[in-house]
Amino acid sequence: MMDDAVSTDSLILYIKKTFHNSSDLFVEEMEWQNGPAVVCYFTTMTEGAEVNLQLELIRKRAADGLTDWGRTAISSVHAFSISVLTESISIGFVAVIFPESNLLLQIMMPKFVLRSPNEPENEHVIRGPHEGFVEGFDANMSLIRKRLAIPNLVVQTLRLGNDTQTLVNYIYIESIADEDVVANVKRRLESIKSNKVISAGQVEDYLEDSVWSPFPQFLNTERPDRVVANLLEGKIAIFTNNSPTALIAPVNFFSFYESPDDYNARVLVGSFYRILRILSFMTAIFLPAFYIAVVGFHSEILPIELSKQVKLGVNEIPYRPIFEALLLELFIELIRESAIRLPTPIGQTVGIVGGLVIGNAIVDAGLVSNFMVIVVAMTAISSFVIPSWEMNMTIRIIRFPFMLAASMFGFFGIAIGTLVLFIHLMNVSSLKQPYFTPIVPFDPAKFKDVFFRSPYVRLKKQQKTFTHGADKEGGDH
Amino acid sequence: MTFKLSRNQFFLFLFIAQTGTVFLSFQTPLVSATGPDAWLVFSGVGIFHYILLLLYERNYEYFKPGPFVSWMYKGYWLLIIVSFISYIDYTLAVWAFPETPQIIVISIMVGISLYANLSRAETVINLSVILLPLIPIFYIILFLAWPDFVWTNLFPIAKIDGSDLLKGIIASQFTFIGIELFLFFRKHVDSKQKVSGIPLFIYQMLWMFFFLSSVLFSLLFFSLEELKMIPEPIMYILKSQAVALVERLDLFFIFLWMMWSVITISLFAFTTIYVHQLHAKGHRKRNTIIFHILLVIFPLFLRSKEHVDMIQNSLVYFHLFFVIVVPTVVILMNRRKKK
Repeated sequence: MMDDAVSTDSLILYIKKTFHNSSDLFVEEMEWQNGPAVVCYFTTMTEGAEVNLQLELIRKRAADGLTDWGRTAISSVHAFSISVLTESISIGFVAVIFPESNLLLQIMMPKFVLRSPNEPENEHVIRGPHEGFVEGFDANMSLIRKRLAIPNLVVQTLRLGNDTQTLVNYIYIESIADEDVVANVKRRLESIKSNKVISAGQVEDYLEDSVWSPFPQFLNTERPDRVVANLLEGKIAIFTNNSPTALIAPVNFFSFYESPDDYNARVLVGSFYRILRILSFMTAIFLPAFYIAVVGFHSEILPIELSKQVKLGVNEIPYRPIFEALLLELFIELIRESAIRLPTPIGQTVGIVGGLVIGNAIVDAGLVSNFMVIVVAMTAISSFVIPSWEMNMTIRIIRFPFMLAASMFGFFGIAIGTLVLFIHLMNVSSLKQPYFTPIVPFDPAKFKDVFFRSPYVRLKKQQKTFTHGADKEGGDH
Repeated sequence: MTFKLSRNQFFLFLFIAQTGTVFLSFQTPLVSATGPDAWLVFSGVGIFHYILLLLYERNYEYFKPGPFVSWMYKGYWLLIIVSFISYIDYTLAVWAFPETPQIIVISIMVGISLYANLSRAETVINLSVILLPLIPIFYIILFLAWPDFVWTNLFPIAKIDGSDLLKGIIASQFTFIGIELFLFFRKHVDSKQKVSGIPLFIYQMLWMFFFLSSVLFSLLFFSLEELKMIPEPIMYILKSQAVALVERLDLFFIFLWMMWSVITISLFAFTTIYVHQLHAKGHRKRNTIIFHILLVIFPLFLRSKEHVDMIQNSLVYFHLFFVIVVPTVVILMNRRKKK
């Protein structure tokens, strides 16, 4: 029993003080069959009418003399403590305190506004489902469960961030996922000691093997079909509450070049576009560097007629090709960034004005050559082909060091840059599993899937180890 | 350093270690010594290469070098790497960077090897994979020279004397450099995968095809007099080819060769550090950095083509010692110990 000195009034005052008299806090005394009770909740997070209905139901169970009168599908009874009380109210539960019996009835009925599960703006597909995740985990999980009606689909939940109390859920298929990877994710999530866990991106930072690598080690998606396909390959999906983004790992470099459209299209069509995307990786990174190297160092590789034209175009420009390229690349980045921030119709206008009008004027003014406009435009289009936004951004950034290397050393700079990039890709891992598989470590069975969409679905798992022969795949099929 | 190799990884490792750098330049001294017989001589040398591989495969378990022998090998590989770096630097200066200071080009190349060797062992071992798509392209471009081949250049044959034959065999030994790595890494190959027999024969055939074709291309494309004046005949063949939009293919391939060579250097550096770590426990990172500092400093002393040539020419004799004499002694001693 609570201290006799603690009356219901002082308890109400204490609760109000704890929540700083917040105007959306509802705290009232009510009569229960064995004495007074205090009910409290945030009116902005819980529907009052629903609370009354639930309380009536539980009151009736108590009146009927049921032993577990407080235990229903959405309620439970705990020993009273201030910490449980504040936590319950903060996350949108209803707390009913019984000072006489020192109990706390917790009713879980938070009400949050959720948008409809529309198709994500950045992951459009032509064929296939047009659903996307929303900012609530329960709704997202229902989208996954309706596609995976199996008992092996496991959800594990942690609450992270002392100040934010953010729910982080990770899901996997018990029979397929590698238990070491699952344990690794659990360990890493539990080791997050931040007071504020706000976004999926922040969680991603904590979970990544090498946070300074430009390459994303988690696949970000807002598509339930994509999450399901990856779960079936033994991967783990991590959701941060209040975010529509699922983080998927372990993944490899080529996962970012696959689109759900590949499997919804005809085999040959899907394969063609997959190859096109891989080639776009080459052009997106190397094309401007190649142009700078040719103009600056190796113009003799071009046929004489073309070489003349390039030289004529470049001779009019008052500075070196690297500055020309940087100017235009930064200009494209500005257009892209402003188009994202502005409302869609205005964003499109900015794209047209920036791309066509200013682009034309900048050539007429002699600030950049026509060839450079072609190169930069082709590069931009190549990078936009990548289905993953975070890989797209990575590729856009990586081209700058290549451009600098080409401007300093020509093809030698590109060759050295390629080796560095290749070594880096071999060093990167996603949840300690090789990132550049199936190329390194080479896996012939999966290698063809990098370029071709197979005509049937075969469930595969991420290569587990960098070392040949040491238990290549984890978990049981 | 614990790692395990698949059969394919092992053979790729060996192939790149053997082919890098030398495939561009060994044809001229061979053809100069043996004339049109070069291809015949090299075919015979290829058989010797295969015999050596078979002997290695049979006895690799007995090859357990002690600290002294390991230091000898480390010195030998240091010499190989230094001579490779000097040669690459010289070639790049001729073909691409006449004005760039030697130390910059060398530091960049050695920096790549350092980065790879500071990574996990699997990274260096698999580094050669990057070359796999490039090798077929290299061959396709070489085959563009087909219409210009003069097939009578391959004849007459069997016109050389014993002295020229010996010179030719010695010149061919450049293509063997790196074969000793077989003895050091064979034990790391997955025991479930068979190396002897057909796999080893296929490796031998690939090695043979690669080098013999480069000799044949050189003989077929150039006359003997021309070849004597051309230090890198393959590059000159590429220089004479043009495809749509690309007038100078050699400029691409000089950098492909440079990448190939840098990877070879990384493999030799990896082997040196690996052998060093067998006896000196710990401090791998420190030792790797020190070794790579040496790799930057030593080539700076080889400033002229004459110095580079001198080192390269002496390399063949060191090579014979480390590929035949030392393994024989070590294997026989260990066999005897076992008995």
